[in-house]
Amino acid sequence: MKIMDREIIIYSILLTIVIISFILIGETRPDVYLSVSILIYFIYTSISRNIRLRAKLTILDISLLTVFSVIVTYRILTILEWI
Amino acid sequence: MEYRYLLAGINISLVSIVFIVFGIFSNNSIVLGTSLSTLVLGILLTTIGLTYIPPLHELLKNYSNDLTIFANKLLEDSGLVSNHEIRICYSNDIIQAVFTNGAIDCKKVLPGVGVVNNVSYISFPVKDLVSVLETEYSIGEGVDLRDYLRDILVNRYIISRDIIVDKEDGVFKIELWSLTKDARDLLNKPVNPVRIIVPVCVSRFFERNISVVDEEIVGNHYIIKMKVV
Repeated sequence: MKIMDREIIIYSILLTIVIISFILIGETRPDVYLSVSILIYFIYTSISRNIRLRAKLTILDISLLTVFSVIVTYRILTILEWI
Repeated sequence: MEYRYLLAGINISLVSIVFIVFGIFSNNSIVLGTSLSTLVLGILLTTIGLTYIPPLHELLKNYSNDLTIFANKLLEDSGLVSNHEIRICYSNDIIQAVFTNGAIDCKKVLPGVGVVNNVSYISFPVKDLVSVLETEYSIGEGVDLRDYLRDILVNRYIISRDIIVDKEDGVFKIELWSLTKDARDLLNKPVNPVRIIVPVCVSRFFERNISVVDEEIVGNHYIIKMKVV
């Protein structure tokens, strides 16, 4: 249990650092916060195997990947001025 | 399931949702973005809390699977795999789960592999399981078989969501409704804890030998018929 606790705390700290950094640079796009959080989730859970070993994250993976894809698609369409 | 993570996850998610609503109504993008990020953490913790598997649980599951493979091999080698019945031999000293291909005298059955009157058998003593039943579940007047089985199979071991007990012509029909995924996976093998624990509990309840008459899986329900012998 201690290893799992430590990994969740590290993930929370990483997330907090990123959020504070975004606030400090004055980022105002909510989708940027969300997409970077999702990226951190995927990167961290890929590197740190314990969370994936102990919990089933498939549904969460699919959900977050879908949200991320929607954000990216929205951004691409905005750049291409299609919407 | 791990309640610490679940509780933390739900709390973080709820607080995030409140701030998301606040961010939307106050048109504050930074609050909205921060809350969305925190919501990811909340959902992650909730998911971990809901699906957490303790390391020891996993080890025991693997060990149980390995033992099951060995037991199944024994069953195949003794020629019992295609045609066998389960008997529970009750005595004050030991309760045994016996896989046999015919009627067998329980008094002559010993733990292990053997033959009694040309009837081969494999017998597993279920000492630990019975000691749990004896110390934690009392049998006496006013205790109903359904409540007894429900306490053990549904509330403690979470094999199924509900249980129905019926009796017709001296045969007990026990239906385990909505098997859990783990129990369903276990039922695919000839020797498995689910097939054994149900008649063992009934044997312990009546303090008599039990013979399993019929078993079937209908949809997601496991129906087992047995009689006291």
